[in-house]
Amino acid sequence: MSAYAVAFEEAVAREVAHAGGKAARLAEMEQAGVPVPAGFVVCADAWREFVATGDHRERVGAALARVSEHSPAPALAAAAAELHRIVLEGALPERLAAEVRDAYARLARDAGMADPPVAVRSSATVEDAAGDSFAGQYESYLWIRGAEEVLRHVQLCWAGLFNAHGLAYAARRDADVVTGGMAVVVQRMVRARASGVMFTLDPATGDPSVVSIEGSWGLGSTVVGGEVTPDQYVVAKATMSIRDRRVRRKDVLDAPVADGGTRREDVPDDRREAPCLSDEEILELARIGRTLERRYGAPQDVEWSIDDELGFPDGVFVVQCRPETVWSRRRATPVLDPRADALSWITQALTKGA
Amino acid sequence: MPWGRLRTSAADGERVMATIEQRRFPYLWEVDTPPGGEGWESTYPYYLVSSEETRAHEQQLFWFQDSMHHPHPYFPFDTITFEAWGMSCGAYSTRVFALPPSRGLDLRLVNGYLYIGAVPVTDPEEIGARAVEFEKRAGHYYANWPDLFARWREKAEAAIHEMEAITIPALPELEDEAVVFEGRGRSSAHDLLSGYTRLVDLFFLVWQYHFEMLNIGYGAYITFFQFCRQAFPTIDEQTIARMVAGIDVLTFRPDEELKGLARKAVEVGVAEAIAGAEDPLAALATLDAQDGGREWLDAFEAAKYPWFNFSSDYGFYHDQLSWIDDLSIPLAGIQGYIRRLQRGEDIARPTEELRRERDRLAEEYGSYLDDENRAQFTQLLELSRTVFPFIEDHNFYVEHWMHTVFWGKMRAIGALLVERGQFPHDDDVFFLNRHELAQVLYDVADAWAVGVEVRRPAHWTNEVARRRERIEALREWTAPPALGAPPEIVTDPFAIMNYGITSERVTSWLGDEPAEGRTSLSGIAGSPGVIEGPARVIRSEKELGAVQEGEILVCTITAPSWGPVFSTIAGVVTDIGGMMCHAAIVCREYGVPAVVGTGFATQSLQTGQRLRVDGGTGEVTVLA
Repeated sequence: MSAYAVAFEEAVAREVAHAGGKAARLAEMEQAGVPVPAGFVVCADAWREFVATGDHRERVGAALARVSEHSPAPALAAAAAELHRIVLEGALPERLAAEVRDAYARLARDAGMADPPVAVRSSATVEDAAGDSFAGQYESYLWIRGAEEVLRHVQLCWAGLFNAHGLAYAARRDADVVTGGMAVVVQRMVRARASGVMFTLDPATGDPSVVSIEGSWGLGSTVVGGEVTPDQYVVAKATMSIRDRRVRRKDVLDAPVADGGTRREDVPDDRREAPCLSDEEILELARIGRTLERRYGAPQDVEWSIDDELGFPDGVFVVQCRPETVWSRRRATPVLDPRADALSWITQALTKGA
Repeated sequence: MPWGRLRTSAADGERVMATIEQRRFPYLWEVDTPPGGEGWESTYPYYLVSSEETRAHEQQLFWFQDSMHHPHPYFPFDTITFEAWGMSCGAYSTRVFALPPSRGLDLRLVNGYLYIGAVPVTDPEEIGARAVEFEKRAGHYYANWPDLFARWREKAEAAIHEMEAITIPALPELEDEAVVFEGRGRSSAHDLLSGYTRLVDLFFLVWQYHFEMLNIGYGAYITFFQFCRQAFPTIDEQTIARMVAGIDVLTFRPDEELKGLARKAVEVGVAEAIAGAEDPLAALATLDAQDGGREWLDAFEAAKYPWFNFSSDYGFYHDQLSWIDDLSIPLAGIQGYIRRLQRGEDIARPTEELRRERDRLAEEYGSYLDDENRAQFTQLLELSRTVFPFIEDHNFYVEHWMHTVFWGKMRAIGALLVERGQFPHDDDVFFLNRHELAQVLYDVADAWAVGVEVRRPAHWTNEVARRRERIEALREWTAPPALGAPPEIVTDPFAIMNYGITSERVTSWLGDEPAEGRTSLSGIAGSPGVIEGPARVIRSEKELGAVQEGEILVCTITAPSWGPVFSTIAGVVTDIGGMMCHAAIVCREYGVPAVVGTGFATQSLQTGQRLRVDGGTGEVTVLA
């Protein structure tokens, strides 16, 4: 049986082949008890079904055949524009659209509100593989409300497979974008009081004994986009104690607006120099980071949000998680000379001083 | 003059440079003497005092004041304590193990206060040559540590027992008949002189033992410490210390005895008789008549040896009494523990929990590393844990047990001098330095032997009276934390580990000065936790009785024998101390937040002020 839209709780949502890396990770976190906002996956089968409908396959194939990894930029752009037109204007198969509408309705029922705002993000099978970090290459639409808008943004995510950059990347990687396909995650938005990123190591030094958290008011876009200098908190994993706390001046925040999308606002004066996280929130995030790192057996790069209305600890959410790539890819160097013995280490330590 | 405002004009002979403005402390000879303290130099052995002949050398060194062990101006006799450790520490670093980058610690008195100057080895060739010797020599100790430590204990105990057996003869009108009928062939005059000589010899000997394994023990720990700092740049010093710390440490044993006696008192039904007594010493006399009283007194007697040979401070001054000299100190501790037991509190040290936590931390940090680094981590951790029992236990043998015996014998000599008409007061003896005392004792012994009066009682009595006043005047002086020009970076590992002397700390001392009305202080995070409470500033252990439950103890130092106090206070702030100072170790044990090495807490804070002590960041804030 092919399912086009599956909730995070379902087993199939954990399979990268169906749900893509990002969604599979969210589903796995959800099933491991890590707090992620509720959501569902529009599986890669849905994309394949769309491609198989009408003349989509022929038209996509023809457009792709005109370019290669070595095509000049104008040729890539022209092909991308043609592919976008095909994907965005093509009609969705009815069963597929119905499943997405049903899944969204269930989300609304669980949230106790009509048309709950959601994030719609692409979740590709070639993204997020350990060793690759192409954050931002695929699409992410926030604060989408209503089933028809969700469907439209699912198509926008599919189209994102064919932006000029992605096209060249796909060609270079020799990935069959048509059959490999693209899944899409639809996930409740957090009414973010504060958001940010968390590494399960110190990104500055690679220190694996700490969780490093950066955060600011509102949505995470100001932190990820470098629009503010975020607060920084460092937590020692072994003792779960806050080792460092740098509260910075935060002048702007991104807030959701009623009709979807976000708006940049000034941070109220009394909040600019205030910490965006309480100590218990910092420690809860660190604990979650540690859980994720243990589960995946490698350092993680986590995006998080604190919901303004749900209170502690219900309002602490992980919105994305992927393997940390910078330090993880470096080969660890021995701290001390591996050819020397402990006695020479002591001699060297004494000579160096403390 | 504020310490940071001094300028040095440096012009080295070859290249005459523009005036370099370098922030420094005064040199040893630039320090003013407080009124009434003039002439202090003449009191002490010449080699402890700065002179024209030594200035060139002294100017090369950075001198810090160890107010942890040596917070007061020195009584002339008491300099024997630091002379003994200075010679021993130096011999092991310089001559026995050849520590590659360090010779010993040179010592000077300034206005009677002790300053320590670490003597570095700077020539790379010499460091290299010493490293070869060091590895051969220290390697033998690391490889045989537990055996050598077992032998160390035997040697130390034998020397202490020999010191215990020294008797100070009474110098009677006629010698005991036994001298005749046993054919002893020597008189009490000789016994007095040889007793004093042997006492001093044994004092120096046990201090030789003190450093036999200490510097190289620190060497192993520092290597582990540096490994952790490099592998986990964010790790705090106390977490490193917690991975290594021993659980069954002798330092805690005397306090454990008090807890046991408190439990015993509850068990045999004399708890109220002890805890409720206004004067617990007087209460002891009445216990015998009570049910269970004899049993408790027997337990009390049994606990005394050797555990009450425990100094109420670090034992570097003759007037720092030990528990055995003043039983009201341990009795106050027992009273406190009885009260806590009566309130239903658990007074046991959570040793199992401490052990589990220590192993969990080590396992956790090891798990962050790849195989190769984990192997290095484990090897250094194991070596550190091997050497640490010595680092933790040696103090009991030397500073507590041996010093207690030593000061006891010295007080007996003091009493004899009064009896012989040499001095009016029992403690006058401590106002002579040990070389002068050798002469005076000779005079006393010889005068007794010849059958005449001691020769110059008025001269020495007047001199001692002058010295007494002078030391009182010197007590009013605030000793700067350091003297001389700081090195660009502080590298002496022992200064860092034991005293918390780091480049950062020295810079903050230079930019800082004590001031009442300060709203914050920073120091070294000694023991984790954040606590708020009222300050209790005390300047000597004699004021410990004033400390109330829930207060934050503010002091120049803390001593391990303050154990009972640690169980009632909410936090600790000290002027001096590093991560491995006793205060930090004991506070971590008792779960009391501590900030150590603030430099000026006792001068800047006042009793009653509401403080916030953050033992995680090293910040102390005055709230109100």
